[in-house]
Amino acid sequence: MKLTLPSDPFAVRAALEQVRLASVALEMSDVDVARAEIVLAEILNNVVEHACCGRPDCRIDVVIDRVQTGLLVTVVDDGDAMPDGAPPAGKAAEIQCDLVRLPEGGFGWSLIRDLTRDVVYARSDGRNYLSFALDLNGMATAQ
Amino acid sequence: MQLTAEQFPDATLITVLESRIDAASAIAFKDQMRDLTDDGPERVVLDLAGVDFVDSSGLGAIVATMKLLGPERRLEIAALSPTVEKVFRLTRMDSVFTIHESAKMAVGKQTLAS
Repeated sequence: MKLTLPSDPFAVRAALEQVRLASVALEMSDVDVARAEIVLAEILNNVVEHACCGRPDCRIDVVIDRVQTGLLVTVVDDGDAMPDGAPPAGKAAEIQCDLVRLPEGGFGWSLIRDLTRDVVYARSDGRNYLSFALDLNGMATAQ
Repeated sequence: MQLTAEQFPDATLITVLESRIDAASAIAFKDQMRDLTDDGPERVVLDLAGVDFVDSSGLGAIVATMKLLGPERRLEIAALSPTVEKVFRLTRMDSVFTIHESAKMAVGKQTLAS
């Protein structure tokens, strides 16, 4: 399936809803849908906030292919290049007992890394290309 | 962001009436929570029974709310639906918050006591 959305969080909500609606055709269980929604929300929100920086003319395309192991997803956007030309490692934040030092952000890439594999980023002709695999039905990544 | 607050002897019960705490609504959630918990008893119980999705922005807003309460008060969570539970577990936030099965279980004993 292919989706195109403008750079704003309400458009992201609508896109996630479209994926949810397509989940039967994509042969996804409830657990699969949950994992896909978590990953896509984090990636698309990152694009809106950090790549497109809320610019209304910044277009985002999402292509989702169903393959044997699960989904292959590519997100393409018109936004700024990723810092350092590579996606963050997403190491899970230290959870300390100290209330004051609890992190309020930075969970996104940790969630993405936990639920996906083969994350690849490239930039070409002023567009960002981020692709990844999301295994479904508990194969490979059992989260 | 639709939230309601109900006062109990030693807890404020806040019920989220919307189904998502996400990038689109996280700031509104944080602002409203700050207003609703400005003063009050030691415990604030956040009922998420009606919430089926929380992303990292929503999670950050929940953490920020807890920090705003300060060290003398605490934010507890009630009723995590499956996807929300997954996000709490993956980010290890399930070890930071006290999580109740339901709002009733979180505040129920108090209504019986009075």
